[in-house]
Formats: sequence, structure tokens, C-alpha cells
Amino acid sequence: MQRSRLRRGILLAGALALGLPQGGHAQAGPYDRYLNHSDLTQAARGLVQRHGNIAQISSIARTDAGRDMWLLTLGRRQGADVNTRPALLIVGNVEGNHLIGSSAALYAAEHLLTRYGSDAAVTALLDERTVYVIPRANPDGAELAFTLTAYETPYKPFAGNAAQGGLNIRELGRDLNGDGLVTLMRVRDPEGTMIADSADARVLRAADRARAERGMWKVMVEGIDPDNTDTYVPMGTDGVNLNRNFPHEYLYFQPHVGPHIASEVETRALLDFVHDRHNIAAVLTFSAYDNLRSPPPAQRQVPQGVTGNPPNVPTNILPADRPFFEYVSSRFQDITGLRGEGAENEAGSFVQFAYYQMGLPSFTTPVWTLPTPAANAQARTAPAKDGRWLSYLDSLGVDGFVDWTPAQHPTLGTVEVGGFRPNARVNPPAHMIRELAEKHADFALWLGHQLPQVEIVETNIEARGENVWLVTATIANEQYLPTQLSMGQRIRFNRPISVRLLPAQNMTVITGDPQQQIPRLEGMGGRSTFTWLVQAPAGTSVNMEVFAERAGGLMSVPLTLR
Amino acid sequence: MKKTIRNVLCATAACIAIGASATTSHAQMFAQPDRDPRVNLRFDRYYDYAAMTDALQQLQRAYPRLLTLQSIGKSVEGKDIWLVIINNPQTGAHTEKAAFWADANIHGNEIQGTETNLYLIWFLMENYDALPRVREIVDSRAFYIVPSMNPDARDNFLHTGGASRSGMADWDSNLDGRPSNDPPRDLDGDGEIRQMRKHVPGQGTHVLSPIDPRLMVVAPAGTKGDYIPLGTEGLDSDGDGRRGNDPRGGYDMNRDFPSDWQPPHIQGGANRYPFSWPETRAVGEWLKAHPNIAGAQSWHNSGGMILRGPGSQHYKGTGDYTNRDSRTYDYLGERGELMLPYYRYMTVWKDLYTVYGGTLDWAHDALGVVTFTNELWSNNQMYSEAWTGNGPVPNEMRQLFFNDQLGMGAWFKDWEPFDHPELGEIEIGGFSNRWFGRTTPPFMLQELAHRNAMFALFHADEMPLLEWGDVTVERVAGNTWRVKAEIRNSRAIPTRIEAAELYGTGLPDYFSISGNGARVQAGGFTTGELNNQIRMQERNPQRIEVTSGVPGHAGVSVTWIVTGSGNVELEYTSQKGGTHRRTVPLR
Repeated sequence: MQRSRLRRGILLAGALALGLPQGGHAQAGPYDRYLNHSDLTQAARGLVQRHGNIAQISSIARTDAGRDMWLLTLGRRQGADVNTRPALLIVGNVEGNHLIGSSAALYAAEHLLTRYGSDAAVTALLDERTVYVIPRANPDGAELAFTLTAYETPYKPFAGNAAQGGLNIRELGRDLNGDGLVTLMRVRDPEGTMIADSADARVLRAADRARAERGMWKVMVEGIDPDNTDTYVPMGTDGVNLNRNFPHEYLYFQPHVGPHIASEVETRALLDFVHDRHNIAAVLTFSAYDNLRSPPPAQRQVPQGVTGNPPNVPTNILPADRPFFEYVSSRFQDITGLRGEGAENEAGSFVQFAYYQMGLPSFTTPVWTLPTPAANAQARTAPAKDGRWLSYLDSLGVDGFVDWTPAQHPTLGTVEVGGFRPNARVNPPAHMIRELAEKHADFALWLGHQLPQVEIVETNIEARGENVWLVTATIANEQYLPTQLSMGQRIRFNRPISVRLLPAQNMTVITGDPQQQIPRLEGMGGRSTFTWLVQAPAGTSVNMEVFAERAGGLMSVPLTLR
Repeated sequence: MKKTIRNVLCATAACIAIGASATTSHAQMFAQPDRDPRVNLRFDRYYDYAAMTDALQQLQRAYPRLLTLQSIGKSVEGKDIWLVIINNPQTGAHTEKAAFWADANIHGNEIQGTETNLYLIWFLMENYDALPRVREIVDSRAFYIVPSMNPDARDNFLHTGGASRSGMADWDSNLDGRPSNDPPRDLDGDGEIRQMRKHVPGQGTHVLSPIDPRLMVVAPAGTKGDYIPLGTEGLDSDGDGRRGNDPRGGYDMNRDFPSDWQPPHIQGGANRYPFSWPETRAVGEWLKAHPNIAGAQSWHNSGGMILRGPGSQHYKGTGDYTNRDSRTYDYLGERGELMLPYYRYMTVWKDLYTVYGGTLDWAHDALGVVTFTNELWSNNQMYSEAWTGNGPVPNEMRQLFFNDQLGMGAWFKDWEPFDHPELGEIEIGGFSNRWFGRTTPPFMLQELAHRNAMFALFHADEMPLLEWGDVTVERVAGNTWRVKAEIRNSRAIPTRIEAAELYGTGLPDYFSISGNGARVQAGGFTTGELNNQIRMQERNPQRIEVTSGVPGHAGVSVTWIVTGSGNVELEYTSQKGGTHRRTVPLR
């Protein structure tokens, strides 16, 4: 019943601001508008059809609503198995309403596929490496951006609460003034704590009593039951923010994190994918968080609600790993020319999982966000963030704000309804998609070339007499990234680099374990040498194997003792 | 004028006349211990998966009215994970009663919990007719019992001698990229995995023990010994230079639950994420779907412990459950110690070791279930008191004495020569790694099963049981009445533990009043019995939200001011305490 009430209120106003598909835009290409599930499916399938020799499409999971979570696998089919080559994983649209993430991820795939064969860097990348693209990690949540245009919700519906559409609709509010959008409402109240900002009267901010300011407005979500008190909602039964459903810094028993870690099929699909593909060497996520437009802070504020971790669970990127993040961030800024600030408090996110629980270089950026404030941003007189958003949207010519207008509330009387349009600060206007996506695709190409690659650079057999031989092998990694970050060395699932001399008829290993392991090989020419003293008749053939799961997989060299 | 209405109605679940069987022709364990029971199970033996399944099916055939056997999922190897529901349908659906959960054998080498659960099921069925206390518990409660959560490793243990704690999925213990390709092996074919040693006179690290030549001790400082211990029986099957270092499994399913979960580099044995194994997922889904579960027990071994959470000193930043919840656990645990000689009531992280992602904390935090883990069997039970504790006699010698005198040599095998393909002439011998140590000797198994099953029944009996207290109607003025109603919990466990209230999990209880001709003017908790004080609930006073539930051995009293005439209906609804209604006339 609540659902139908909502649907009645939907107008096209929201759709215009978002660039949603409508009559006049029916012919537009996939990067001139945002794509719902069926459009995205069509675009992804079309892309793979046009580039069948270097692209595959598969589904890594079906959502509760039966939508496929698509995976595009890019890489030349000939040669080594794509699932053993060093791989870059690109993930978009983890938050349901972050549609720009899926557009940018899909664009990155198209950018690479269409340049294969003509652009040397792209060709080299897809010949020797693999790029996995999961353009939309949250198909059910994304669909809400097209069907519940009145709301700004990053959530996916909670499966156990189908009767209410899987969402706590009361909390999300209700359209009072009939503009088809649920924004905010403010009411004059002696208990109000908010006042209009002097810099931009549309913006409300907290009154500072110490500076003789008196509060005037109470601000609530536009709706009937703004305090959300009518019904008790058991924890873990409301809409789920997938990007809070991952296991690192999971916010136990907070709203919108799901009933428990990895409760959602999409979360498990992503976790299993990263665990199963041991060749993934770096992750690039388009999400609300950011460590590219600006490097991660040296000292994070651990989000409230993170409890129970022992001291050996790190809360910051390890000091030994930080320079890699700083360097990659600086390259991102050079390549894209973008600076800005993403959301804070990435607790329970996919990005965090990839670094803190897999040890992978894990980069994220929202594709579009508020540009870096002016140099005086830290000053007390700097405009509030809402104000900066308003000026930025104004400068883009985007109608991102509903001006405060009176409306009648059944119990509060006259209120004023207004505020940012749903998703106005989440997704850029459609005409910006292509340019933003192209910059990020260029960065993805650069990042793909930084993945580690172990090579056997030298083998040597030295006769020591009496059928005794000294066998020596040297491996090297000429790429930028090491085979593991420091964090990666801690992770139980990451296998060390193994170098082994396989058993051979009549051969005895005198010294040295047949299998020798090192936790990591540095990048930029890092090398390591292994030796064995063996006894065997001259002419004996023996195989040496090198296994480096994220830097080339299993390599084998035949040796003859002579 | 004040009228007390007699407590004539009781819980919907427990009030319907109970159809006690008139025929008592079959045997009763306690009433007629000189006869065979109807289902003739033995409790001086261990049951593999097939035997356990057969026993459960026999019980189901013998007691179809009270016992339902169903599969809640499949193990890694595709075995059914059996769940037994014990419920008397004549007193209501099992989902409407407070239910007790008991699982066992999540760790493959902790096997006797399965026999304990089999015994619990069997005892309840065989004594339902003869013992009124059994009948009362079965009629007012439901039981969900999983005899073995890890049937794959159970059979691995019983059939191959592999004493693995893990499930049986492939796992790359030696991180060589080739999972599970170097298991321990029974080289001498005696059915047991024992120890290997090499005799190297004057070149070794160990010498024969002066106390008993079957034992070895470290050679005195500065001297060489005659033996080198070579670890567990096995080969280097994968050629990595280490023997038996990559078996099937190698993980811990009791680190796979989603409270205070940590990944394996923090908490050994954890996997990718919580509920990542089919066995734990099946159990987790069942538990989530049954909010009526109010008490739970997970049988483990060993050490003689009645364990409660939390598992970690960092739990919620305090390292303990709340005072209110702790008192509930203490009440049960302290009485458990009296029922279980050699067992101590303990907190996991304080008295055992730290556990992240264990069953206990999840059931407590997320499901509001009062949960214990009993570590079945203590080695102290083997000896007379004179030999327990840190006495002067070395532990191994005491074990040999027990093996020789009470086991007639059943568990220790003297060292015998063996020609090892990699190590040459060696010796194999020592204690059986499965029948001695963690596992209760068969002749002591039934007592263990009985005492622990009775502790589970005590725990189950202390789940909330609600009944109406005083209900009074008093005229305030004209047609306006003060309706005061109390609901009481005669048991120790509250209908909602404080953790559930704090973390907002599950639903609160609701105390409601309704009536055709009645308007509720105000309502709230009764705070002063004598001067009629109420803590008013501003919104929806006809439906009082009881976030703390009904405490143990106490009641909740609510007062409404109602205008109207005729009857009003009172209803108390609780996920773990059931739904209770009664009609009250306004006069």
C-alpha cells in the first residue's frame, strides 16, 4: 500500500535532472544518458558481440529480483588463460544510486576494446593482461533510481521485507508538495536549531549560540512521520547499502548495513570473485569514496560504530604501502586533471575489503564529485559544503535544488519543503558522462600497465663433480607494483611466490627444500635468486616451476643437468 | 471498588488439554529400567553418519507425533544436515513456542556431542509418557536439534582415523597453489594415525623415559639422545619437503559466524566471510528464520566447561555482556556446575582463548538467544581424585596407567618397526589420536550424555514462560476506567535479553488493549503500585512497547485509562514468550 502511494507521486522532473531515458532521448547512445538494467545489459552484450575475440560476458550472480550481475572479461583469447594473467578489476555502481559508476566502468571497457589493435598501449595491455569489469555491482539498487525517482537512496531492497518493497519507506519520506520529489521540510519552531546561511539563503546550517545566533528552523525529511516512530523496525531488516555489507570495519547493528556481514548475494558474489580470481593484482572501484582525487589521509578517523577489533586490525593503510597509494593518486591527478573530495567513512565498503582483507592495491573515486575547494577552504568563513555544492551546480547550469516553498503537513501545519533534488549531488548531468568517463578510462589503462609480472630471467647449472650440480634460478619483476603490498603479505589467502624443482628420476636434492617460497617480489626490477644442490646422472632432465598467482601464475622451465 | 479477576486463562500454547497417551505398554527408561526401551539405542558406542541417520529414522518412526526429521541443507560432500524438531502439535505449532536449539560436532573431531544430542532426543521420547516433568517440558516448548553439523568430518574421523577439526572442503594449507594434496596417512594399516620416530643411537634428541620405556623424554641438556620424533604418520605426497602438511580441510567452522568476525590473518580458521560454508549457512538460515529460539547449546569437546560469551576481550569495547544479561547466564551456569561434576562455568576469552566469529556471540547479539557451549569430557574424569590436578605424576604416565588398567591396553600401541619409503627404517606407535584424549571412553559415554542432556533440559526449562498476573479494573469516573494488567515470567530467562534491546535486533514485546466501545486515553508502565503512577507512552498508548521484555522471575505491569463499556481484549505478544490474550469486562 505504501508502495502504490509512492508511485503515484512520481513526476518527470526528477528524471530530467538525472538524465533518465525518456521519449526525446530514445536514440541517445549509452553515454548520453543513464542506463537501467535492460539498457545496460543490451549495451554490454552489444559491446562483447562487436569484440568477440577479446571480450567475454558472463553473469557472476543473480540478484534477489533475478537480475544478472554482469562481468566483462577483456583480454586476447590466444595465449595464456585470461584467468591466470595479472588482472585489473574495475567495479562500478556499488551504491544503488551511483549510476555514473556503471557508466564509467562500461565506458572503460568500450574505450579499451575499441582501441585494441590501433593503440599500442591498449593492445599490449589486452595481449598480456586481463581487465575484469563489473559495471554494476548493485542492479536492484540501481533500478530504484529509475523506478523511485522521488527518492535519493543508495540502498538495495532487503529481501526479507518484500511486503514493503524491501525498504523502510517511512524513513525515506513522502512527497508533500506534489513536485514528485522527496526532499526536506523545515518548520519554524522555537526548538529549531538551524538558520539560513548568510552566504546563500537556500542553505541551512546550525546556529552557533556562542556567536549570538538563535536557531529558527527544525529540519526533517519531507514526510508524514518525520521522527519515524510509528513502527519499530528491527535492526537489519531495512534497505541495504551494499557498500556497508563488506567485512572490514563492518558497522554491527547500525541501520542499512544488512542483517550481517555479507548477507547479500551481490556482496558474496564480489567477495567470491575476488577470492576465486587469484590473478587480480589491483582493484579500481567507482564508488562514493575516494583515494585518488586526493591520497588517503595518513591518520583516518575511525568511524563511530566500529567496535570489537583487536589492536592488530589496522585502521590505516600500512606505512610501507602508503607511498604506493600516494604515487598512484598523483598519477591519477596528472592523467585526469581531477581533484576533489569524495565521501568519508568508508566502513564496511568493498574498497576496504580489497585492501584490508585481500591486501590488494585498492583505488576508488566517485567519478564525479565536488571539485577541490579554494585554498581558503579551511578558514572559518569558508562556505558550508552544501553552499559549495549549490554554487557548483549553479555553475554547471544544473537545477539541483528545490527552493523552499510552503506546504501543508497533516500534523505539523504549514511547513516549507525544499532542498537538493534527489541524486543531484550523486550523478552529474548526462552531458558530462562521456568526458568524465574518458578521463577515468585513460587512468584505468595506465593502472593496468602497472600490474606486477614475474619473469624467470636466468637459470644456471654448474657441475660440481661426482654427479653433483648447483642449480640456480633468478626471477624478476620489472613492473611498478610489487607482487604483494605489505598488507598482502599478512593475508592468509595470498600464496607466496613458490619456486620448486620437480622430482626427477634418479635425482636427489642434497640441500635446499625442493620448494622454496618468498612472500613478495618488489617492483621496478626487484629480483630473487634460488639455489639447489642436487645429485643426478649427467643429462638428467628436470623441470623448474615458478608460481606467482598475481603476477603471471604458473611458469615452467625445463632444465638439463650438464 | 477494585475487583481482581482470577487468573483462569493461561498461555494459548499450554492451555489446550493435553492428550497424554493412555497406553504405556512400551518400556520407560527410568520407570522401567529392567526392560528395553522402544527404540533400543546404545550409548556406549559412537555413531557414524549412516548409523546416526538410521537411529534418527528409527526414532521418527517410533514417535511420529512428537518428532519430525528434516534436512536443512547439504554438507560439502553432499550429506544431509539433519534437524530434529520435537514438538507436540496438539499444544500449538512449534514456531509459537519458545524453542531450544542444540547443535553438535561443528568440529569434526569433537564427536560426542552427537551422541549427547541423540540421547537428548531419545530420552525425551522414551520418557514422555512416564515422567510428568518430561511431558510438561515437551508440551510447552519446542526443540530444534542438529545431531551433527559436520557429517563429512565425522565420517572422516570414524572411518579413516583423521582427527580433523575442520570441514572436508579442499583447502591449501601449505599455500603451494595445490589444495589438499598431502594428507596424513595410516602407513601401517592399523586403522589409526599415530606417531613416527627414528632410532638413531647417540644421534637423536630424545631418550626413552626412565619411568616407562614406552614413553620418550627430551635428552638431558648437553647430551645426545637415541631417538628423533618424526611427527604424525605420513608421507610427503606433494613433494614440498614436508610430510602430511596439506590435508583436506584446515579451517574452523566455529569462526564462521557474523558477530565480531575477523579474517583468517587475525582469527585462524576463519574463511572468506561469515556463513561461507554450506554447513554453517544452513544452520544460520534456520536460526535467522526462527526468532522463537530463546536458548541454545553447542556441544563441543573437551575440558569440562560450561562456556558463555563473549569470545573476545574487545567485545563492544567492554569485553563482557551487560550486567543484566550476565546475571541470567550466571544463574544457569552456576546451577550447571552442580549438575556436571568436573565442569566449570567460564567465559570464553577470559578462561579459554579468544574466539572471533563463534556461534555464541552471534546467537547472543543478533538473535537474543541465551547460548552456552559445553566442552564435553574432562580428562580429570579418568582418575581418582588422588591423581587429578598438578600432582607429582607425569600426565603421560597417568594416561598409560588408565590405558593399561581401565582400557586393558585399548588405546596405546607399542612402537613397532616400519620401512618408510622416504625415511627408511623407522618406528610407529603411541596413543590413538582419536580414541584417547578428547573422546570419552565408551564406558563413560552414557553418563556424560545424560548429565549434559539434563543440563540442556534445565536450560530449556528456564526459557521464558509467561502467565497472567493480577488484572484489575477500577472506575476512575463515570465510564472511565483504570485497567491494570500484569504479565509474569516464571522462568529465569527474560523474553528479551538486554543485548537484543541494545542492538535493536528482533522485535520488542507489545502489551496491547483493544475493545469496540473503548477509547484509550492514556497508557504506560505502572511505576507506583500504591498511588497509581504511570510512565506514559505518548504515541499509540493502546499498544505499549516493552523493549526490555519480561525479566526473569518477574513481571511487567501496564496501566491504561480507558473510556467505554463492555469488554476489552488484552494481548501480550512476544517473539520468545508467545502470544497471550484475555478478555476483561469494564465493570
